[in-house]
Amino acid sequence: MILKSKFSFINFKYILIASFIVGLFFIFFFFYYKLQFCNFENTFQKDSKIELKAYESLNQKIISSKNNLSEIEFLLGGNNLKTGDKIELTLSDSQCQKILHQKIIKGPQTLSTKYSFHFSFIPLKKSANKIYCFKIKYLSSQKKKKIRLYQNNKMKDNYLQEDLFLFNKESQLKQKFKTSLALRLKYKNDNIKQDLQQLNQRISQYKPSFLKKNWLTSLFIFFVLFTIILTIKLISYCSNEN
Amino acid sequence: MKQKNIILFLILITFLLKEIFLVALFPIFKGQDEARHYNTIQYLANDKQKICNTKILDSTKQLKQNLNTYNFSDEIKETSLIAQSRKIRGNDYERINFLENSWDGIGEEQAKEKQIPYLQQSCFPDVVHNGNHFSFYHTVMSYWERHFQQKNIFFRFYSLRLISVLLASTIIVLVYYIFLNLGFSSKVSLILTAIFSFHPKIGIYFTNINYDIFLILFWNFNILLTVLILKKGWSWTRGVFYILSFILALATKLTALALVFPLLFLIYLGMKNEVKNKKQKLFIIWLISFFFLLIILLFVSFLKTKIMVNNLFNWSSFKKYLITTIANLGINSNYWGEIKWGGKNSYFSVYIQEIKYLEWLAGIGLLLGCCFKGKLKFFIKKNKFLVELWNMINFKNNIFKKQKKLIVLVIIYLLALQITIRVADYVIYNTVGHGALGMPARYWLPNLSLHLALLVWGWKVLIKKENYLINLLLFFFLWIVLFNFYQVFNVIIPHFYL
Repeated sequence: MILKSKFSFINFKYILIASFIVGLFFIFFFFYYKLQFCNFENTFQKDSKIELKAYESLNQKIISSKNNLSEIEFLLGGNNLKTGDKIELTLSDSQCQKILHQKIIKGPQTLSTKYSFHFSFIPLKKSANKIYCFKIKYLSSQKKKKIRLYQNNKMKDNYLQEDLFLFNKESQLKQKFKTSLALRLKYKNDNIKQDLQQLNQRISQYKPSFLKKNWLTSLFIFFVLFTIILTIKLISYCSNEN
Repeated sequence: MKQKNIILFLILITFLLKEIFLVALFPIFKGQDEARHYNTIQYLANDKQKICNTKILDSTKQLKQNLNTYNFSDEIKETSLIAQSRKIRGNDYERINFLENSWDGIGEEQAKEKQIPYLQQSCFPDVVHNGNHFSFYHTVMSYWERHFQQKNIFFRFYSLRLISVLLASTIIVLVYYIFLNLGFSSKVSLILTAIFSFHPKIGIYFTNINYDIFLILFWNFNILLTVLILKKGWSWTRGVFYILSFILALATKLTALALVFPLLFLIYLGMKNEVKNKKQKLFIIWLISFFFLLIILLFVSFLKTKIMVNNLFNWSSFKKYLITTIANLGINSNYWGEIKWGGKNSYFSVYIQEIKYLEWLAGIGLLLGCCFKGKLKFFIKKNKFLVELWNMINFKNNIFKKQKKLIVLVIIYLLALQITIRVADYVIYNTVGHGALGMPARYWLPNLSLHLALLVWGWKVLIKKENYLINLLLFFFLWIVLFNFYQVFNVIIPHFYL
């Protein structure tokens, strides 16, 4: 009986430690996944909105300024996506023919902030100076429903090649806008070391010398290390019945 | 060195590393009212003879996004422009313009080299003071600010944040001794202290330049002393430190007026034990009630003269306030908090909902422990299943018999703070016409340690074996640690830097 209870107690201790390691793995995996950097030549300025009715779509051609294009972030005006709402996001070649990545976002959104939406994909390795076609299609179960997307007038000159095209549900051109969508392109670096270096540089900006560069790296390493040591030590000590 | 001391030391070191890392992550002026508090510190560090030439700005025209619309010092305004504070205030998708392949931001080097004459334009702080008296926190920190006046603003600002972190580590030690003296075993106390140190909401507030850090420090010192006095009685040392903690907390923030309630409880208990005569006891109760009423009247008259409160005792106004407050009872109204830009439907809300279940469980335990105390067994002894269930629940040897006074004390602390916050909120509601303080749980944080204690007492009623309770606490601790990591690496870093 004693042996049995001790055995189950030990098991619980290892279950806790294992869950901690698995949890950490997922958190750092998502951290790595999100570790992509946008160009800050353009701010996310919000101008007027474009309405997109059910089964209508918007086409926007974009120019990637760097290699490893990995995300397009755009702004949805007004409210969050509701239940039953879907947005189909497509990235294709410059002729809008060959689909490179496609994703459907369903409402209600759970892991997004209120306005900005992230269309992430596997990095396009040789994307520098290439033109891509970004398409947003609104799929709604109700005909009368619509979503609004922000435009940005200043953005066009920098990395958007052509005007913005609105297509109706029969895929015929409905309207042409002289502006662009308010969106941001994000890139990964060639390896994780470069990603972390770039992140360190960003955090270091507008900080005093004692919170910059290597100090920051050391803080990060020791914080993670000591948390792991503390967790394991605390679980081991408290699980000990003596 | 004993194992438990090693773990306490590890908790402290980990806490310090986590907090300093958070200090580095949060951009300048991004903390709760940080620019306001820092402006007050600068004002006190300054030469008062320098007259503020700026027109007093209309507070209704203050834009949260733009620090230049506030009556702040020139240095704060200039720095906010250089550090692009406007971009990261008030929206959840904008980022600042970082300089690629550089360790310094745009204009940072020039800003650091620029010698801003310390006798700069500095206007009377608009919000952060108790009437005309400045908080003890601002006065103390102004000495640091003045001493390092030759250093650049980034050095001064972030070093003040580090002082907050150092003070917070003292709170961690105090909290451990509070748990121990409330009667928890060293294991339970250590886990609770670790949970406290990883608490996601308080962890962020501890990195801010804000007088709350002093308030939480003196408040918890006051809790520890009250518990010690309750257990061991008054002594000169305890008495002196008690008065000191009370005065310093009050000199920091008016919220500390709530500490009068536990003090009255201590006086009542002290006199009750000394006085045996019934008539004398009644007289003492009347005396304390009178004293209590006097304090309330003094407080109200203070508010009336200082803030010109209208309709303070108007029933319809109070009703409106009550309806507004209840309508605002939402995700913010808990001890665990959320970061708004974490997303309305993100893991933040999931995590808070799940913790609420644990809180309800503790609530059930507390209710059962308070109400039944073993009396129900008579009615259920015919049913085997109910008897088994009854035996699982530890009513007979429950904590309520042994620690009745401590539990009453904890409840007094929790209620006293809530009453004080609501009174302050109601006064502001009457002054400005809308609830300015609302329900945010950051005002509740001084009592976080006691909230945790109450939770454990509740669970203890339902969980008979100490081992099972420890397992539950370890699980809770793990959850909080992982949530902390999620908050830092999946929310805060992407929000500001990616």
